Amino acid sequence: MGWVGRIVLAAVFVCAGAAKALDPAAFADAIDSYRLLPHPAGVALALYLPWLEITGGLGVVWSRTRLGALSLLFLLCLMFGIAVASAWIRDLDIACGCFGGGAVGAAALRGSLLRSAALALLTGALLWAEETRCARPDSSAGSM
Amino acid sequence: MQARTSTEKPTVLWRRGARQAALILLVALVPAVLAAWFHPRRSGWSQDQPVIPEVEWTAVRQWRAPVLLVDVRSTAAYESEHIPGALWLGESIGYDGMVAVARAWQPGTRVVVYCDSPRCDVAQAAARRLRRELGLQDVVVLKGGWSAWIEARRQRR
Repeated sequence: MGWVGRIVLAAVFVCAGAAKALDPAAFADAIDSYRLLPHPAGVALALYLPWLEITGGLGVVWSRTRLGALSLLFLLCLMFGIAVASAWIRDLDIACGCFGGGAVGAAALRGSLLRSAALALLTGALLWAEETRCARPDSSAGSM
Repeated sequence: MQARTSTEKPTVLWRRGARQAALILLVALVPAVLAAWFHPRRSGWSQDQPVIPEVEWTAVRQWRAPVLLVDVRSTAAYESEHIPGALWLGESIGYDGMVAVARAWQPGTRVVVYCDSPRCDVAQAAARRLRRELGLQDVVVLKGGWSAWIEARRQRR
């Protein structure tokens, strides 16, 4: 069943990354709206983060990069969750920007927070399974 | 010796994970750097992100030029009530919303974007996109947004 989770996770991150990579200016606006980073940092993040999601998503599929990819995606999920939670707590009326836009408002942010939490759980479970598999004496790095 | 092996195992795993993560971070850097130079929709680096001017509703009411009001609040908020004649830009301020504004806009029309409250940055972001992507220059943001309009309506009554 692990491969199903990995494919789902990879698809989610590749789709989310691709949607944002197509329009980095709009994603930079979305990052600015969180009021957490100075504008140049937001622009840099808007250029880099989508490609990190895409390569991370693809990295989950390949066994030789899976451990590192899952670790990175887990950290990304936590980072997204913290950013969205901070916007929700500060009562900001913004869109998540997670898939290159999204609905505006507190209800939409709550939905994004739940999605981030679900993704973090899935990534955490897959990471734990991968660590357990790698720690086994007879583990082979080349398995799918 | 046995104890040392058992404590090394997680360390080896960590190192392997860190190496793989570093590789992914580096690979992602390549298209990101290319996008920074060549992407047609990249954002400017300048610290002075253009701040769209804000206007009071009382000033908007006195304009003689036709006004196109653009609502960037949520679907539910727009459907519940909106400024009469306001066009809804869509929840994601995406392509469809942009097309709708481009169709509604006529030469000489002034565009006023509003969201919920002064805390809302969506109107600024939407106004910037209307300027950048549709080339509309006469775009402003309604100061105080929807809550200011409600307050102005209350005072008129």
